[in-house]
Amino acid sequence: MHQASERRPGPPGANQNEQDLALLARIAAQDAQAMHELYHLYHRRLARFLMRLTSRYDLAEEIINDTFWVIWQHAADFRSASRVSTWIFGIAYRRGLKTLKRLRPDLMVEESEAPEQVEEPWLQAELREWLGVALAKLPHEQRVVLELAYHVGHSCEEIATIMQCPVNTVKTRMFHARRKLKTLLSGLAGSL
Amino acid sequence: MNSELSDADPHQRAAARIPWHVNGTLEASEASWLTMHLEGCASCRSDYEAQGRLFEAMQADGSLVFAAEPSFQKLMARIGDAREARAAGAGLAPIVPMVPMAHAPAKRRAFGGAARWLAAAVILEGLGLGYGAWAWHARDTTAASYVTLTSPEPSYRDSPRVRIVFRSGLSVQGLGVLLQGAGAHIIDGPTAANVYTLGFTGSAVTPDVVAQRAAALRGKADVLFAEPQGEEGSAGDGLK
Repeated sequence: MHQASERRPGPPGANQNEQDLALLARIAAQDAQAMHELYHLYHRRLARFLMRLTSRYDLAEEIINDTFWVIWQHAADFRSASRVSTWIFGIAYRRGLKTLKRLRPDLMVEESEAPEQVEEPWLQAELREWLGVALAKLPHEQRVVLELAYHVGHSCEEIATIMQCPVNTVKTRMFHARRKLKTLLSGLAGSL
Repeated sequence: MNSELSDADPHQRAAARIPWHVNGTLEASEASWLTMHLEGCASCRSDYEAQGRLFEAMQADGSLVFAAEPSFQKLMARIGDAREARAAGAGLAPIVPMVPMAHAPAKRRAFGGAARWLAAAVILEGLGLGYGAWAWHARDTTAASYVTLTSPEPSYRDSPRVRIVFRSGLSVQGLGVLLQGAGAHIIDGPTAANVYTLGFTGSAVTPDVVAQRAAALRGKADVLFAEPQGEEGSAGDGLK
């Protein structure tokens, strides 16, 4: 049990949130320099997250700017009910969903039952390479939960806030995502 | 928990908590319980280690390179233009400009500067634009096959509108293509900030349709800003 005793680094912590809050306060005063700093702090994370959601760079860029448009307009309304990053990712997620619904209603399918579990695929060295392919095959809700948990590092409760759903729904989506990903990665391994 | 993972079963309880321990966000009491369980359960430990590898694989950023600065400049131009458009009708507080940054020449353009640059740069020659507007009015497909200067104008009074800023140097031909693609007519402008208003005719042109057309226009290289009129600031994104 070598890894379980070590807590892995979570999302940016209190210091980062303090910094974000300070920037948000300046943005509320229409400080373009603060906007510039916050934009660059979040652009890469949001781009990666929205690429996972939409699979299109141009859409990701459009959604990022729509997100920061809202931030610029409503920074003064932020009441610290959550961390700033949770608020920002929540806006981006909802904007992303809106865009997907507008462009590809067929993508907005409900989650399906996870397939049967198969043998452990994680030991494959090509995991990282296949991961992108496998993630793209997940329903978007499951993909988003995995991305927010394992790339951005948000907690279960924060993801529930971002996705505006119950905590148990996040847990269920994570459960299905893990099972399905395992199956998909095994399938990819077998096809090579 | 949920229908798939019951807390009554320690293995299912562990499975539900492993992802959040792996990413470091599981609360301390739950983490202690999980650590104890993993020490005595090879199956869950194997799952934990597998999730650890997945976590590490997903931490990698990949090979995509995202250029933030050009997108930021586009955003600030959009904000600046909307602000100037509103300022034309109401006194607004000044914007705190960006200060020059030593290591980022591309970032030096002040926000106010960006807006002024836009105002100066988005100049379509009056004559050309006037012609473009007339040319588009003249090809209203809902009207007769040809029109004269005395033909009645379509009514835009109750139809949704879009405010738009074109890129500097846009040709009349390019303008015609843009308008034709959006099914739009120029019905007002330019303002002092070079903002034009587009109108749409036809009963099928609902606000949703216009929002889609505005989004499509925003995706064009020749469009610096396009928003349905009155939409700015009404995003309704679940703000706290």
